[in-house]
Amino acid sequence: MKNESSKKNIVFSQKNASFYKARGIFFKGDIIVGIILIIAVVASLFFMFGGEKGEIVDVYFEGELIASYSLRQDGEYKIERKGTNIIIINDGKASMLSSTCKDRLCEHSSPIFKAGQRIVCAPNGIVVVIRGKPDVDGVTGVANEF
Amino acid sequence: MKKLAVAIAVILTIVTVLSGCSAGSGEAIAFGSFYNISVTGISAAKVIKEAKKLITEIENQCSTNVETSDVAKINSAEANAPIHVGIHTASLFKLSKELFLETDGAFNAAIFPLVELWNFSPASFFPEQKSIPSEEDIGVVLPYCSMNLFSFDENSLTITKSHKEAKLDFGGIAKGYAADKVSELLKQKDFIINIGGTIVCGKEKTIGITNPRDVNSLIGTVKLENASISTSGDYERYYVLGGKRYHHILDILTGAPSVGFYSVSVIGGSAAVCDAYSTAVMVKGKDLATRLTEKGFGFVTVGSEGIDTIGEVSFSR
Repeated sequence: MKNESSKKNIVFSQKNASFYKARGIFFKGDIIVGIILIIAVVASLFFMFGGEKGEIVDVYFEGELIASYSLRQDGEYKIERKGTNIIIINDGKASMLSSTCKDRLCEHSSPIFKAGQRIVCAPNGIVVVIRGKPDVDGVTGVANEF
Repeated sequence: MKKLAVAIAVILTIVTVLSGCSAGSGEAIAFGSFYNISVTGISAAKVIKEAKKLITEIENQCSTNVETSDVAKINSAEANAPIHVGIHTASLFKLSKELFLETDGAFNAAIFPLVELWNFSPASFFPEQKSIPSEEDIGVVLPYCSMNLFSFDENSLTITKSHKEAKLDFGGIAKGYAADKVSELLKQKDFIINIGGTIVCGKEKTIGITNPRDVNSLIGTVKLENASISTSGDYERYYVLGGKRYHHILDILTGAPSVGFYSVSVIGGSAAVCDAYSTAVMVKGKDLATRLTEKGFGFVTVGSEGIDTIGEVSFSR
């Protein structure tokens, strides 16, 4: 009995072996899938560990990410949601140039440039934050509280 | 080649598992500031959703900014008209009354008429103030700034004020209260809740304390484990007039902004109590902090004489 099944196994693998030998080690399809997988691995690693510290500023409206800008490129960006906020990036720092909110505390915030630093415009629902893991897990005593 | 394929498959599996690892965070705006909740563990996304719902519920009941809140109704009510309140408002009122008595009025949730007079309320604040209130104006509102003008009925869940001019504001304790309530929701051991700088965490975390005179830098860090920290400072909401800084933490005895510390950070068990104590110590100074260390709270103060720690605090510069 054992001999019979072993014989069958030998025949099976031999058949497979010749099948693959004939086609080459990888199908063309395999190569394409392989490339996609490698891209996926690299991409997911990138998203897991984030961009470089202090390079990107993210803008959130009511908790949702709506825009991202490079700190290395000077520019002015208008955000129109509940109100209108203008964010300015200059010399590697981001600040709130103007806002339609009443108290304009956000306009008086110091420019931000380190990962985790943020400028909040609570009335307009806007948070501007430098992407990346800050040196600490949290910061107490924030300015511009409402 | 086959080995390479296997290797890639293994790496991909590991990466997929790691990135899908149960960790979650949520950030939004409430109580006039941002908040962020980060949790590691099973069902992180679900519990963050519940936490956000709870924060909104608390804000809707207790914020002076929300027109339909219990607090807004109390503030616009006539004298002797009982106003029905929700459980969060009730809890905040009871706790605020206790703390008002314990700190000899240094933490005062009824100081709102004075806050409005100085234009520090969310509705009235703007940075370019042209004048400060006169002694006379201050004298007119001061008598209405007492928790003793309010009573709470446990049976009917109502708050009644004895004078129309009396107003409540839980701004100095609401963030801490919300952080405490969210931490009660979380069964996970590794979490950090940050509501506008008032923080509660489980597993040990390193928390930076903002430099009150250079808000983009830190004066140092504290290690926090299964504890809370809250900070009050003279740089959070202020205006400058005639070269002098007028900030939003008011002293009921003088009717004017507190004098002394630039900032006070409090470390302890309850975030709500830390929140209230930080205001109280800004007003009353080091003596009050020393007294409160007997209850297990620690303090980091910053002032013209530098940085000081009072009580047991693991502070590093």
